[in-house]
Amino acid sequence: MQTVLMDSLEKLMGRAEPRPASLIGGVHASGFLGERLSVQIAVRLEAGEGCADALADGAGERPAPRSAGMTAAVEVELLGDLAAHTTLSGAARAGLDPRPRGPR
Amino acid sequence: MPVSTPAPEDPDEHYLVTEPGEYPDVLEPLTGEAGAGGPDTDAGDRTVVLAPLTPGCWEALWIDVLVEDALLAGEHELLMRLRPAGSDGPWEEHTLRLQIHPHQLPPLEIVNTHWFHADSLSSYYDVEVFSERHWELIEAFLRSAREMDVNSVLTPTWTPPLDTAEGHKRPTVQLVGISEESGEYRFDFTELDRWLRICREVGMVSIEVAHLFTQWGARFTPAIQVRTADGIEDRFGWHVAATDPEYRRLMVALIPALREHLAATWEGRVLRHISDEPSVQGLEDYRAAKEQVSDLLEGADVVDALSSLEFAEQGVVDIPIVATDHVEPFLDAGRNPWVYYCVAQDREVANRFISLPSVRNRVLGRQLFVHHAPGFLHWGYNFWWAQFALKPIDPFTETCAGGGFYGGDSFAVYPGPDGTPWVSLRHRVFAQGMADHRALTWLASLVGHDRAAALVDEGGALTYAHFSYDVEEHLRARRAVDEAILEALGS
Repeated sequence: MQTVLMDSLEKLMGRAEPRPASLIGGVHASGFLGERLSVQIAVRLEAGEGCADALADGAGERPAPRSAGMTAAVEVELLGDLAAHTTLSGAARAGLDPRPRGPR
Repeated sequence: MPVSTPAPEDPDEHYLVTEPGEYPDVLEPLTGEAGAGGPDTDAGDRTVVLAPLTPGCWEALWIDVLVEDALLAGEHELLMRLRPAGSDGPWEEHTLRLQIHPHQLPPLEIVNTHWFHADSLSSYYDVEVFSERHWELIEAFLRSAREMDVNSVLTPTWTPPLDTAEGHKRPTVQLVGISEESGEYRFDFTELDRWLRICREVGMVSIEVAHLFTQWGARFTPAIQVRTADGIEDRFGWHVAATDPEYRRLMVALIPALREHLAATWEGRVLRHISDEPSVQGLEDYRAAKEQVSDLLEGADVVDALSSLEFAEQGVVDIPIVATDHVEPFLDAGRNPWVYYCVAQDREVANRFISLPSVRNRVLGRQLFVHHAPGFLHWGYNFWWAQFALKPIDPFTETCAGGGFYGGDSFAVYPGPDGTPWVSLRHRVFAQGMADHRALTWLASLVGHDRAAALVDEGGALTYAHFSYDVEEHLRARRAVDEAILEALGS
């Protein structure tokens, strides 16, 4: 597994490699109370990592749709006094059909 | 997300991708076990999340930190540890350094509207229009729009005549009950009042009354239903000309009644539209339609898209909203107009297509500030339809409106399960641009517009069509604006 901390203005498109976030004024992100501060973590799991249940179809230069379910996963821990103020979202490339996960 | 039409045939060099493919956009919420505590931490200081990923390629996790509590102002470190699920191997660790300034940004001072399509919600979630469930969805998605700093809402006083093929009809979403008794029109504003109450509660400060005439020419009337003794009647629509005397009769009754009601019940701003995107060839039709109602709209704020300076100077449109790729002549003439972009603004100027770099989305905030734009308009917050509303689409499998628009043009939010809005990466970045604008406006109030603008105008080179693509420059500039605010405040 490889990981790279990125700023919020990066987009992982095509074959581009993730560009590491810079420290600006000694911090990765800053702003005011009530302002949402955002960063990204780029993650690359290799085939066989992450409890995959359908890796074979997903490996390769173009990911397979995940609509059949999760193909692999990474466990993320957030630690610190802002952990409770932090939310994570997946910014997957592959098509996503959320409907099997619950009724509309 | 699948993008079949990412870019124009002659894209500029800044598009990240131009080929169909699957690209990141929706932000799928990952719920974790918050407050789990841990061996070395206090409860509340540790969250564990399992994030699905596709092996074999780089994918991103989006991390938002939102702090409202002034006691938490200051510098913080957030430790992120990652490892493949099911692994007992070592963690990869990143320490995120954050700074929260001990103040709140002032509200956005300009109008920011991204047209809200109530029929998308009822259609996608298959609920009856203005049923209790529909109202819940409306509120949830209006709240999500506020997160993008949208502060003005296209209000379906009657079914908005937008993006509808001629002769075709979108689902009826008409807030104003209109009936006719003894040859007189009567109005019921009960549903409108509920809409306004939600708008107020979620923080909207402006509404836009639905367009009074059809799009792309103003030649026909919107689809308006009237209740009569015989039932609901589709009295107006594509089958009734804009200049039909019967429509004038309705307008004479409806517009004053609506104005009076809004004046009494809505403390925010009210914007009105005649017709969207009148073409130069169709300006006479636009004038004729406007003539139907101009006496009834005396003193009202009427805004419409119009990108010809020549026609703007003739006063064809009271408040023109100018396409960002046609704005230079207006600026040269000393005007600082409202601006909009849509699918046509696909070269050099800011836009929010999935295929464009995020900086080209965020830059709009500084552009609007530097050029004193009073407002920004986008036509699609949640247009989950194929082009011309010919059929509903599933945004999770179709991001290009059936191929009519470049991916991401027609919506910024996805319909999550259980009616939960799932915002897009572009939604979050657009909000950053508006936060930039708020910070700049605040700084301008402290030190003057010129000094504030100097921090972001790229040495005076910033225009709507020319701007820096250097991500770090944008982040550093915003940091400089914040520091200047803090210095001016004496913090």
